[in-house]
Amino acid sequence: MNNMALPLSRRDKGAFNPKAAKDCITFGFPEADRRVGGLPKSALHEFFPAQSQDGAAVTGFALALMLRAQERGQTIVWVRQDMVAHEYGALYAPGLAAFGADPSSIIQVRVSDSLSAVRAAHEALQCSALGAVALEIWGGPKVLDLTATRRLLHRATLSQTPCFLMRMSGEPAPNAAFSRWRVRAAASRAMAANAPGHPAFEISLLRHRGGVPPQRFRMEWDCDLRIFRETPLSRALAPSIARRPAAPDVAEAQRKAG
Amino acid sequence: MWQRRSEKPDERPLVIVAKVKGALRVVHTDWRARELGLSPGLTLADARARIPDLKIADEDAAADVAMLDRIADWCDRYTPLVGMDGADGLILDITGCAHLLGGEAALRTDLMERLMRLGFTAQSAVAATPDAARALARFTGGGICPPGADYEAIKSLPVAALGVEDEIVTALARAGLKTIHDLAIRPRAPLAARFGTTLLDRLLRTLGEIDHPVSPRRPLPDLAAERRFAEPVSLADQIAAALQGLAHELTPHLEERGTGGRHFEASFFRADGAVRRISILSGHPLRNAKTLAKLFSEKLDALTDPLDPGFGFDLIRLSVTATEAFLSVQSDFGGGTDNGEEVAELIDRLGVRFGTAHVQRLVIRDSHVPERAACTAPAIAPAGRTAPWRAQPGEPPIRPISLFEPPEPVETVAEVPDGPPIRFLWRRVMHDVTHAEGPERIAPEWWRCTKGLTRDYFRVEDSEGRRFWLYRGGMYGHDSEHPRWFVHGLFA
Repeated sequence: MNNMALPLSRRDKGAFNPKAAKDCITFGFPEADRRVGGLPKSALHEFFPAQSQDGAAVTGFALALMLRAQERGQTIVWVRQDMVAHEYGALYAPGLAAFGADPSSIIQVRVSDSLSAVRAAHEALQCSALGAVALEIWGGPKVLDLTATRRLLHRATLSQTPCFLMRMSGEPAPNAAFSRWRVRAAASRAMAANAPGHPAFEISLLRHRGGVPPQRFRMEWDCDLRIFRETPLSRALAPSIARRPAAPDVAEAQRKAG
Repeated sequence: MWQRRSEKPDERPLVIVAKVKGALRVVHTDWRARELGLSPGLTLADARARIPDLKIADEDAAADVAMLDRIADWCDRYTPLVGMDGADGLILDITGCAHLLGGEAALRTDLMERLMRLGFTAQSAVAATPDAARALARFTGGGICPPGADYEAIKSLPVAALGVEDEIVTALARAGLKTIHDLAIRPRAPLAARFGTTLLDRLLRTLGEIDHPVSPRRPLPDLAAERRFAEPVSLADQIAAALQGLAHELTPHLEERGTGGRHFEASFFRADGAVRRISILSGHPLRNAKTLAKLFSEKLDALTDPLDPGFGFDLIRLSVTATEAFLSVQSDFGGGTDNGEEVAELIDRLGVRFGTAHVQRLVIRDSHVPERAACTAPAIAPAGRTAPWRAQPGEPPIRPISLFEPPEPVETVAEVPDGPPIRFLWRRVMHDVTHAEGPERIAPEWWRCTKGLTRDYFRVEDSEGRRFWLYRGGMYGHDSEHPRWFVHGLFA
């Protein structure tokens, strides 16, 4: 990212300088990384669902970023409020493994209210040996105000651990988060026999402390390589005749029956 | 018998009554009633006839036992070996503890004074064996038996002091054996043959010829350090400082033994008799004083029922009740081991603050039934084996990242007999399915339950791009006319 293009005031306020790759979380495909730059590791990143039904998409997208940030063998501490599990289900270990995570490296802290959740995250950010700290809360606008997030940010900077805030309900409010994203589930690229494809997300960058303007992306997550891939924003059109694949085999089209 | 002195002394004699053999009988009497001639076993009518002006209370055996428990808890301040002796007595093993309070006499005086201040009338005796002490306390005025002079003290006590049943006492009386001395000088085998082995057992125990140690009420700690305060402390800072000092005292001993503590307990003894215990569990052997003090301060902060000092604590004790060998692992160049320890300490801190059951590991189990394939285990316990999850490379995830427990019912329109859903209504929102994969047939584990519906799972995506894991419970026609559909989980 070209730092010189930023206005002077932004530069002085500690605008984001692209540091070494180790300190950044990248998406894995050049288009997004070029437009956003890397997300710094010792900072707070906030995620909102576009609608209430997009809760699982927020969880998935944040988990994907956590996996990008996690180094070999590092533990992730996931603080989850009970209300979130009530609405969207409990974290399912085989599903996490299928998504690309290692469930044995995740420690889940179940709390009953948002204040305890923030306290738990605060406690967890003291440990510098973690890969990431996830905080999934329901509502609670006052609990994550500027002061509280500043304290979390301070801890995150000292321990060099990224903190991912997933706000499952409630509106964005000003706080010390470095970047703010709105996540929405996107239609996936269908696989054979009209099966749903890889997890796909449509994300909007709402706010970025480094001065990156708001923009939208559409990407899908590759669970094996643990990397994001670009998918075009518009609906997939039928390919031209020259590139259209031959009619699928009849045997392939038959539904798999147990 | 224990009897609490009330604030305004009531001059009437007090008796405690209970229904025995169909009539209300006197069970216990106070000293005034005893002086006037009343004794246990008398019917209430007889007692009233003799002394019209009588104060009567109902027997509450449960409350008596509870009170004795609390006194025993409080006696923990003298020694950890406190045993119950019937429904109205306690035996304390003060071997090795007496010097902490300045000798046996000082300990006994302290105990009696405190009991008197709490309002109890008690008798106590110190002797070389628990049974001798018991006999002396119950059948004499009490006192301290000089070491070696046990036999002299107990030989003139009646045989009832051995603690045997009344029938044996009567039988012994008929045989002309009235005191312990009479029994002691007789040959042992005929005694056992005529009166039973229990009598012989008790006799030998009282004489000190066989050893019958006190069975403690609470598990004995491996290590304990305590502080007594002449001026009871009640401020949080003082308590924290005391705990820190005790932690620093205790941990060198753990280091000497090459062990670390897994379970620590802090006991706070109030000046007015109440005892409060706070315990800490650690996932790995701990012997760092600072970490221990920090864990305790966190626990005290996180208590739902905060520590109430009342008039102050005059004794604070820190004990280690479970230890484990401490394996000093050499750290490698990458600093990998340090990370493991830091994370373990974090798990301990989170467990202390939020409860060890709420800090969980996610474990995959080897089961094809989805809800049994995953479970949570407390992170503080050592990590068990987790079954590996084999995913097909290049394929999207076939299991959702979140699971509903229990699955949520949906109304579905689907092709009969085993087609994927076309439309479904969930939480009052209609979803139109555009992509679907399935069915994945999962039958219940026949070796666990014979009844259970086979489920056909479908991975579906709706027109908005959201992915769900639905299943149909049962097969059309086979299990029911209208099998029910459920959403079991959500994909990312």
